Amino acid sequence: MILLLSDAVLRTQTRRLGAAVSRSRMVAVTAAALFLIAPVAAWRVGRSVSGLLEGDTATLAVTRGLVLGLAVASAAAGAALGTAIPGRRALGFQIAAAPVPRAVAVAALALPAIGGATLLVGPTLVALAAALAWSSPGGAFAAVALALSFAAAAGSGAVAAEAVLHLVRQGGRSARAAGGVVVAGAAAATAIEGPAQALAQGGPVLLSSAVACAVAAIGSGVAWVGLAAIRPEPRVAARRRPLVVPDGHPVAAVSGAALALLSRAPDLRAALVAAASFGLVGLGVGLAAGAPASAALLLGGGACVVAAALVPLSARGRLDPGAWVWRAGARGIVAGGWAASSLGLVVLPLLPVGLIALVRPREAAAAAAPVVALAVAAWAAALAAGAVVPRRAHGAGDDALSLGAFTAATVGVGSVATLAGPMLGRAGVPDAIAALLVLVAASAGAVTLFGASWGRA
Amino acid sequence: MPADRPSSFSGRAVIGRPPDPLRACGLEKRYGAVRALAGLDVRVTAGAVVGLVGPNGSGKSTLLGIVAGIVRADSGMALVAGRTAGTIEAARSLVLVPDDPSGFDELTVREHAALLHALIGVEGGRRSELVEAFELKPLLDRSLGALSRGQRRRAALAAAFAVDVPLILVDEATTALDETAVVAVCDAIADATARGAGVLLATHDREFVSTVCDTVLELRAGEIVAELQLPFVRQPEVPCDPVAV
Repeated sequence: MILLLSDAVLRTQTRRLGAAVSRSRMVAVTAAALFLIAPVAAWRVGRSVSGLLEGDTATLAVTRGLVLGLAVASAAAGAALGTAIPGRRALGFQIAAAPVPRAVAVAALALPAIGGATLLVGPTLVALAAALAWSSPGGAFAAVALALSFAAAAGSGAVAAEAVLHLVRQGGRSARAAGGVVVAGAAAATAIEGPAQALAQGGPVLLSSAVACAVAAIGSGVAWVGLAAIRPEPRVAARRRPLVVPDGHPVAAVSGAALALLSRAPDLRAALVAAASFGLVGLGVGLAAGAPASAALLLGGGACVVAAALVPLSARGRLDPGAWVWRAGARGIVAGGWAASSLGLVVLPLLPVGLIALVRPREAAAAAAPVVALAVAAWAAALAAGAVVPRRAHGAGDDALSLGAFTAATVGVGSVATLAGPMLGRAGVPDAIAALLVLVAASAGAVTLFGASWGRA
Repeated sequence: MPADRPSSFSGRAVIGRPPDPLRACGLEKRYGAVRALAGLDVRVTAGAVVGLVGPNGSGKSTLLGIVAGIVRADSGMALVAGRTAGTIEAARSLVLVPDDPSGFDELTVREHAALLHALIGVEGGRRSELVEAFELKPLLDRSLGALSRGQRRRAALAAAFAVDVPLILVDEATTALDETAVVAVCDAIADATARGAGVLLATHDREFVSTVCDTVLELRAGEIVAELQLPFVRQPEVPCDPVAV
């Protein structure tokens, strides 16, 4: 039965992808080309950092810090993917009423998503892991444990986010959620400690750490399916605050309505809470591990942005049902209003992270610019990906495909920045100016693509 | 289950007689401050057609959702062919036609029906004649998402009535359907009940319920405010105004 449903989900996703590609051939070809060079870029990034892991410098503290950063980012990605995969109602009410066990339905919806994610980012992550481990005492074999730790960390993030959803929706009374937190913690600890030891020491821990990471990945995956299958329904708000729309201000009216539509959606609200939580956890873990405050803020901010990117990714899908209203306004104003609102919501969960980082103001100020740049880049990538493959928040495979498009866009943009950055530097362009130019171009491109896409829905 | 329910409500089959397609008792459901169902009792016997009428938000779709196992009731019990609603065993005994069939929008009409029948574990024996009746032949290889709402509803109706299950649930029975499709729905319901299936349908079309239903329940704010038995069923001239009657 699970294969039957997964096959249907996969067919749905493939056809939807085909339709998206035929609608935006140029964007698709560019994304594919960027995606193909991503492993090369990841290898270069890994090799440039791998100096930290050579010979005597590869202490357990150093490898632990490095793996921690990668694990937090993977956990945030896992949380975003896990909460975005819808319940069995996404199969449509007629299929959902058929005799399909809840866990089977969730697994059937998740399997193609996980397969797609592995296909999409797997080669890049393997290249990164291999490059990092190449010169370490653990050697290239430590890369196996490191690569598996990405999966374990993603699984732990998904379980943690699901546990938070259970707690929030059941008013803090959920034994299952408590169990989920324990599983997530164990998987996260395994994902960090095993590869850290493998990189620093090599030898006998290589095999055991790889096996432990594989078990943690599978265990957290099973735990996530178990929790997601019984995900409580969102609480119904007793009364909404009225939307204040100033008369005669179309920009304010569009932005206000977009803000209300995006922030009131239960899944996006959950993503924003998760984003703030991951940001704070990343910051806290970074500081506790003895990392400089700037690095901890970058870690927390990066994790926060990954989860919050679900909002701009969903903007086009949220706009579509009311397109008949939006068509009454000027396209530029509507696109600008939605873009501004989604950017505001990406930045919002960064505020608590930034406030706490102000404990060390000088170092926090140094990291502020990179974090904001990261937020804008992720927002632009998500807005563009959502414009090409709208996330409709219903329908089998919608979420996975949109998240896949976002991943491809992020990997592509990251690869270009990695390869083009040094060239611009050698040409004498200051880093700040180069970054600003790239961000302005990316933002303008994303808003233009967004505006051009929704009118022909 | 509330204490004042009749003790005879066990939902189990009397010896030698199969259990009713649906027996629901004391169903309650709230969405925040809104009470969708307030202790509803519904019974659908084999071969009977029960119609739910009432204004928007009166609880018709919520009731169908609970029986189909898609919505969880806050309290009360619903038994589908003697099995607790929401379980796999109960789901094997029913098929649902939703208000707006969507989900696998990229599957074709043919693929969607095949998937439904494979999941329920039946052949979908009357598929070809229902395809004919609902005029689906030209649409079979088109994706559901590319169809109009009425066409999608015809596809969902044909897929549902092609299977032999004890209970058929139909939401918004005639919405978005043309006259030919409404006639096909009437015929399909008559055929299903002749085979012993029970049908529970929700609609705003009072002329339609007077044509096909044995019992009509009028819902308001989650409560049954009127129950009308129609002894002279399937005769269009029978007036159907439960309040007046």
